[in-house]
Amino acid sequence: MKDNNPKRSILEIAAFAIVGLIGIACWRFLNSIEYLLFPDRKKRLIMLIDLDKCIGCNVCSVACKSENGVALGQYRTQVLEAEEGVYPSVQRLFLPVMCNHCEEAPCLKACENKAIIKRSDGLVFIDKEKCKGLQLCIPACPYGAIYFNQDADPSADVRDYPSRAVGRSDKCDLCMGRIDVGLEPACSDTCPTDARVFGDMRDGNDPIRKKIHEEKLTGLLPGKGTGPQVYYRGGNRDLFKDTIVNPHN
Amino acid sequence: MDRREFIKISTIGSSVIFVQKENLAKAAVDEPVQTDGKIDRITLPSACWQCVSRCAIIGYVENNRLVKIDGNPNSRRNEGKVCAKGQAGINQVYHPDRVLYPLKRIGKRGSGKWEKISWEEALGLIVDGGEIEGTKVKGLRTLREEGTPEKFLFHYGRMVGSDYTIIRNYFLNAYGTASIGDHNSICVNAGGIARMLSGDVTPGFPFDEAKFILNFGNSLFEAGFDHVPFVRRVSGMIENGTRLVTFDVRLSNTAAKSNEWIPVKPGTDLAVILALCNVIVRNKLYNKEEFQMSANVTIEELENHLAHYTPQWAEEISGVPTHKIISIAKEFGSTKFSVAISQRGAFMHFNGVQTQRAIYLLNALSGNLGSQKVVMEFPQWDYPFPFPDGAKDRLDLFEGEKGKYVITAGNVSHQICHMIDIEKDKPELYMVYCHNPVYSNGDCNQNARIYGDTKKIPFLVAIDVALSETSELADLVLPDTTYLERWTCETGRAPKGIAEYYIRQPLTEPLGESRNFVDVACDLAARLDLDLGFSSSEEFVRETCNNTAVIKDAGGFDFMRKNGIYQDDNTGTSFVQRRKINIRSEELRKKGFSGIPGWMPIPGHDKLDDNELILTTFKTNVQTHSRTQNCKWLTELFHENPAWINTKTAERLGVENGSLIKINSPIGSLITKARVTQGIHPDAISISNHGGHWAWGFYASGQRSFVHDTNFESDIRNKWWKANGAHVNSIIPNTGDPIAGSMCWNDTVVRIEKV
Ligand code: SF4
Ligand code: SF4
Ligand code: SF4
Ligand code: SF4
Ligand code: SF4
Repeated sequence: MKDNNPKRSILEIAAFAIVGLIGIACWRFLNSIEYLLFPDRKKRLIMLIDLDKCIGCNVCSVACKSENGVALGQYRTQVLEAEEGVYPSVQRLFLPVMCNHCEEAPCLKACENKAIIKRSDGLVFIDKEKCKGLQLCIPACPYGAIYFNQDADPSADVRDYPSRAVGRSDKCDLCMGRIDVGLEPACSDTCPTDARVFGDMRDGNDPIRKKIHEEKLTGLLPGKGTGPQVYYRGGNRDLFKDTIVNPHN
Repeated sequence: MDRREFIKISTIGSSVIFVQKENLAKAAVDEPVQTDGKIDRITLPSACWQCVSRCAIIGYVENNRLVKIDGNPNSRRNEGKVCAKGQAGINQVYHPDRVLYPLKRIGKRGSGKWEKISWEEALGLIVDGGEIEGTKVKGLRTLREEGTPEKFLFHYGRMVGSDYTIIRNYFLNAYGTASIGDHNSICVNAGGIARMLSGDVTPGFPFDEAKFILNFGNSLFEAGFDHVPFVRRVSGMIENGTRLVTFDVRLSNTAAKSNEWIPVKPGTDLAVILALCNVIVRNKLYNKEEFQMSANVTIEELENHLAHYTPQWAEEISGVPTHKIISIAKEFGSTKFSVAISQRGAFMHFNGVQTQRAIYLLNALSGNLGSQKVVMEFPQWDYPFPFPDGAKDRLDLFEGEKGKYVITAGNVSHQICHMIDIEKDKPELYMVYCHNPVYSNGDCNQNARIYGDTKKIPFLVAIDVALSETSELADLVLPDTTYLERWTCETGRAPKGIAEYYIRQPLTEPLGESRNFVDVACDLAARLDLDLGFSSSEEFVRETCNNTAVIKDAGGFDFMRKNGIYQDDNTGTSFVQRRKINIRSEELRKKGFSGIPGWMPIPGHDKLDDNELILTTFKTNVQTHSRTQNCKWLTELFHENPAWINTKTAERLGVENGSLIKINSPIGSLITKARVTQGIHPDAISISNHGGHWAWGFYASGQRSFVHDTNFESDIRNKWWKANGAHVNSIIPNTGDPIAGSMCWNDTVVRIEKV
């Protein structure tokens, strides 16, 4: 009779369960008072992308280009496609990708000029005044979310797109300009199936926060420890494993 | 309440907006916000027109430049959403090949040599005629004085809302020509004629209550009438448990997002539908009472008629397995409610009219076309100006060749140029408006030859925003404003039958010397001493808003300028008794077609040899058929249109993914890349529209047009793509189906060669 005493196992399980429950309770508690511990952090902005609802219409990526003066050849958000199966049982899947506004953003750590800033509401943006265009951030991002604002003519006048900072790195900034005046980000605002929803993890009334908690949703590449704040639901993300990895890595 | 709150509130949801409507009325249109802390942003409501759906939008203007479009959250149709085409509408305004002044041809037709002329000279030529390259052309005044106003042929592609009313009901009627062409026969005319033949086919229950949607060839998640509103409705229904099953030759995005995709051999939907009806009738899964009250045939007649259309029979023709047909039929028959929908994929075929009529039969069996029908009042603007009498004089160019088609409704517009070619009749002044028949119809080489022939068409005038394949052949080009620079009264119907009145207003001043053609028509009328009662589109919209009772009460024109939309909450759906629907058409029976829809094989499709495939076309989600390839953001996403070919078929033919293939049809050939995929029927080869422009500007075709100018568009140097696809229409003959004369887009048998 060694360790396989069933009673003891039950006790052990119970102990684990209790510890676990206490852990969860603590975590919930900390979560609920996070804004007390970090008083300047009243918000944690997030995006939830529901792959079951996404129809691959691409309006998000076009709206983003329009709102943010993104040049031809660059995207802040893209809709990836994959096909799977054998005729006649075939599926096509869509995966919209964007900057994940990571809690532990490797891009931020890689920038020597402190040009990448995480705001108290969680959004990560590149300060174009500070950015020197060294592009250390680009390979640092595991998601390939950063691009360099190139122009075929580097001295070109970009008067038509005043928000395009040529010679700087650039990426999704959660449509900072829009959300700061109370608009939704351009992509989620126009998504015709509501597959893409903008929200706030600190807002107890936010339905997507509830969904994320209840369904234990995660972001892309959870193994990288980046704490991505763009959450995904449904679909078959595994099909895209290779695609979402930064080609620079 | 300031602008910010307007937007904030209005994005919460339509019910909230409604409560806030009074407040919204106070929201000043010119109270700017700053999204980057520097530049003022002005918000104005208007309406999209990149496709026929005409969603309600709001535009943001910075420093007099339109920078962004969002959906108008006040609309209960599109609920603040737009599609990629709607977002890219800005590209229509600032594209480098936009025509910004009138052009007169100085070389041979199509030589690309133009002279910039004044509006005065251009309108003078149209009204009084004159000389084009040494040849005299007749103007509108002469044609009228000579008693032949019908020799003024007006051919439009997209003309909607009050633009349609003003040009067709006021201007062309006042002038006296009924020689008017449209684009119905290349669009959905087979469906329209089926509807006409079937009579009262309004749904019997509100669509949103359907629990099972059977879809034949409708890419509703990519395109269509009421596209964004319909996407919202159907995706919402699916989320709430409605099942969507799609029959299509190809795994469209719609098929992919359906609960089930069932591939079907091109042009055989009719066989599948007949077999579905057979199973439903044999198993008594229909709504007997409703059917007998509404249909003009008895169940017994139907049973006899359908007896030999068994699932086994349909499997042989369509490739859809017998067990699938049986299970779908049972599900359709036993679900409350089921509805069958369709689109061009089902009916732009040789047998399209009968296919659509068979779809009505399915709906009648499910009770959707039962004794009751849903009626919704269509919102009607109250135009304050008396209509001129209708014009009657019409050239004999619009019905196709005599005796070829049963019932065309005068709509065989894709054969106008053929009819001119065989000298059935001859227009003197042929005006093409917002249409590109050379590119958009089939058999493009023929079209180009005929439109390019000054003997057949003495005076060709194009009104366009850029030089299209057709306007390149014109004698005179008038620069139109884009839809974002014009005035229109629009109407729509939101779910639950709520009437929506909305307007299109300029989001920015017209660029260059471009003028809204509606205003030009008013100007032409004045020069011809025709009294329309108004002299501009703005006046017309203003007076109409102030004259339409419900709008007037809400605040008239000023209210509409600020809000864009008015919803009449006193409207809604109600049910009334239906007249009988014609499941059997006497008209068709007399002409030798099956009165109750029956199988109608497509010539040449039954025995394909190893190298033959059936060519079908389709629309992708980010382009319209022909008018959006000048939009850089859309064409960046979609500029190549490879041929979809099934993996097994490709193996048989030795074709590899990405390799070039030559596709030979009876009228020509094209070379394009192969997209080898599991997502298509093995007998089909499928190429999207939208590719292979040889004009329409740098983004569309890689060719800089005569008017190319980067003054308004500095992104042009970043264009990175070189390929611009192949134009599938050029190898599809301009045929018509034997009933409606509708274009058979999806019937051409082609042979494949490796290159
Ligand atoms: S807009 Fe929405 S539905 Fe369309 S591709 Fe983007 S996430 Fe998907
Ligand atoms: S996704 Fe990349 S760019 Fe965005 S925050 Fe994370 S590491 Fe930085
Ligand atoms: S490109 Fe700019 S943001 Fe990126 S590492 Fe260099 S300075 Fe930092
Ligand atoms: S949040 Fe804004 S910047 Fe980021 S992907 Fe969406 S539209 Fe682009
Ligand atoms: S569906 Fe798209 S293109 Fe059509 S009107 Fe609506 S937004 Fe415009």
